[in-house]
Amino acid sequence: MRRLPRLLLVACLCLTPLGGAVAATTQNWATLTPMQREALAPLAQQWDGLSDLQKKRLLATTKHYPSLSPEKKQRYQTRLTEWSKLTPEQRDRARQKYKALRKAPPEKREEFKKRATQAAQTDNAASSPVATSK
Amino acid sequence: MKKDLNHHSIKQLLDQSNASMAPATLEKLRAARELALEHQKVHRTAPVLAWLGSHESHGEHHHAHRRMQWAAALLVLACLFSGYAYWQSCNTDHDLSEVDTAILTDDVPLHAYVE
Repeated sequence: MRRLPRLLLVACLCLTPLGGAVAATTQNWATLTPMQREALAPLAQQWDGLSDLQKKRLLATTKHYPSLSPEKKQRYQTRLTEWSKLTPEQRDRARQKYKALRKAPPEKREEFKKRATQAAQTDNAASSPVATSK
Repeated sequence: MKKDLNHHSIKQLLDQSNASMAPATLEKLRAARELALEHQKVHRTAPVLAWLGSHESHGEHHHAHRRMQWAAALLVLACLFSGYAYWQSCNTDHDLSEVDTAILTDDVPLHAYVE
């Protein structure tokens, strides 16, 4: 009877998010489901070296993968490597920018898309062997 | 003869009857009265005595009970807090995964969001 309050206190501590964080497990490439491996295939080599948080975030995105169109699936996989190489601050900045743009009026978003596409084309032209040889 | 009975007249009648009673009867009545009074006392004190008898360390029991109440309240609070934190974490994770997927699949190039 006298130990019961202490046991309840231990139960309280176990229920806290800190307890949950301690209990979190690391997911290695071998433990992923076939669908997760398919989605994250470009990261197969570096997966085990990624941080737990990065793995958690990437695994969360794979939930949407099966419902993507083939074109978007390809785009997703093409960008994965670049995305994983970004710093956490860069990823946060990208998220903030995306959220801000989502709230912006359609014409502003179109303008942003146009400028971004033009900049990408210019970069591609500048980095292509033909452009560099000139 | 009709006579109004009130507490005074009843007392007088009882006193008169009392005076005419045999000493043995009076003794029996006294004993019965004492027994009745004793019985009444026992009835009145019984719950207190019973409580004292069965809970020798009432103070200690009371403190343990209070501690239990505090621990239970703490447990409920921890459950509520933990549930809220978990719910918020799930919401954040879900929002983040949606945004991350949208960035990774958007027709706007990735570097446009990073710059």
